Amino acid sequence: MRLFALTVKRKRWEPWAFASPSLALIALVIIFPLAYSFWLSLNNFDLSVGAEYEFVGAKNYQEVLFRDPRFMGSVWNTAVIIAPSLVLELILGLGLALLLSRVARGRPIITALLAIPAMVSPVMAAMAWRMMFGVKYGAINNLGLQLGLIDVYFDWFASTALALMSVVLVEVWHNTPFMMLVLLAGIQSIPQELYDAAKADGARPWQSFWSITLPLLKFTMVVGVMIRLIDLTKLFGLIFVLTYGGPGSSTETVAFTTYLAGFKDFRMSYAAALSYVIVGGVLVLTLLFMWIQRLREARTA
Amino acid sequence: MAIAVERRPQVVARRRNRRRAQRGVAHLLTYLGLLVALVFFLGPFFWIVTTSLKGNEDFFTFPPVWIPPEPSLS
Repeated sequence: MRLFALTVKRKRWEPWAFASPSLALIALVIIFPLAYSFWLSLNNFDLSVGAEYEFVGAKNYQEVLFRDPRFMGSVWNTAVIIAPSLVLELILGLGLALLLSRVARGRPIITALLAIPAMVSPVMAAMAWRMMFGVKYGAINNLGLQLGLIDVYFDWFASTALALMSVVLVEVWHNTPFMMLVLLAGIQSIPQELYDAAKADGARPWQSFWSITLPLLKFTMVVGVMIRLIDLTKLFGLIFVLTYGGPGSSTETVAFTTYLAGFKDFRMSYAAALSYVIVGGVLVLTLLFMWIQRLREARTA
Repeated sequence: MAIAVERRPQVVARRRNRRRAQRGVAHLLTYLGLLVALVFFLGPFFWIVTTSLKGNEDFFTFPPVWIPPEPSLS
């Protein structure tokens, strides 16, 4: 009886003892930075002033939310970049996945070749495109001139609209392959019997696409769009290399504004507050997206 | 069920040919679409690779060349 009690007692602390190394690691690399940056966001730590700082409460958050037109502009810019990128990536990715699913021979090699952009790191992709967008030595201007599509050497980052379009183009080039792979996996998991049955019932190809492929692919599409949405709110590398937020501040994304606040203006506390506001915004956006999806499913069911 | 309507062999053959041709066209369009996508997605990558093989001289040639005349690894 005593022995039994002892084993029970030992069992209680044992799992914690075994888990303690990884728990310590998690505390060190995840919880500590989060807590420390949250603490910073409640102070007025500014490296350009000095190393001393004092507690100011929610002042930074007030400034972020109500008195920072630059941040509000960057929220708008991010939305303007995200919306067309998501739409184009979804449409192009779906089209390519459908084409690939129809290919009988050489599908693996074509898929692998098409997936190359997704393997390139954002900075490298942006660097390559920056060289191609180059005014005089760039491939795009020279190709366009030789084909007679444009008649002057164009600066592709000269105006707000053009710069945004260029960023969206590079973003679409970079991440459509990811969408394509996700959707291709979704398409291949649809049982072939459904198509055979539809064909036996005399359905035309677009009918079976509309009433078999699309409905069964919906969940995959939602997941793909969600991953891209969350990723796009963190868009930084492309902007840093391609436009550095320019012209003016017209292509500054929220992540880039945070970077500027922290490492150009050295307002560490303010940057911390900005990042917490952004995380909150992304969380709300994701929950909203899931909620809408849930509503639509409930309505169709 | 009386599907005893005798079809003349030429008609049958013509129909089969037409269907085969349709399928061929669809195949062709599929590969054509993929080819366009490949050009779009691999063009920039091709540019990365060839530019990495250019020396200063080839890099600043005007108008720029796609494939460096003297590729080098240095």
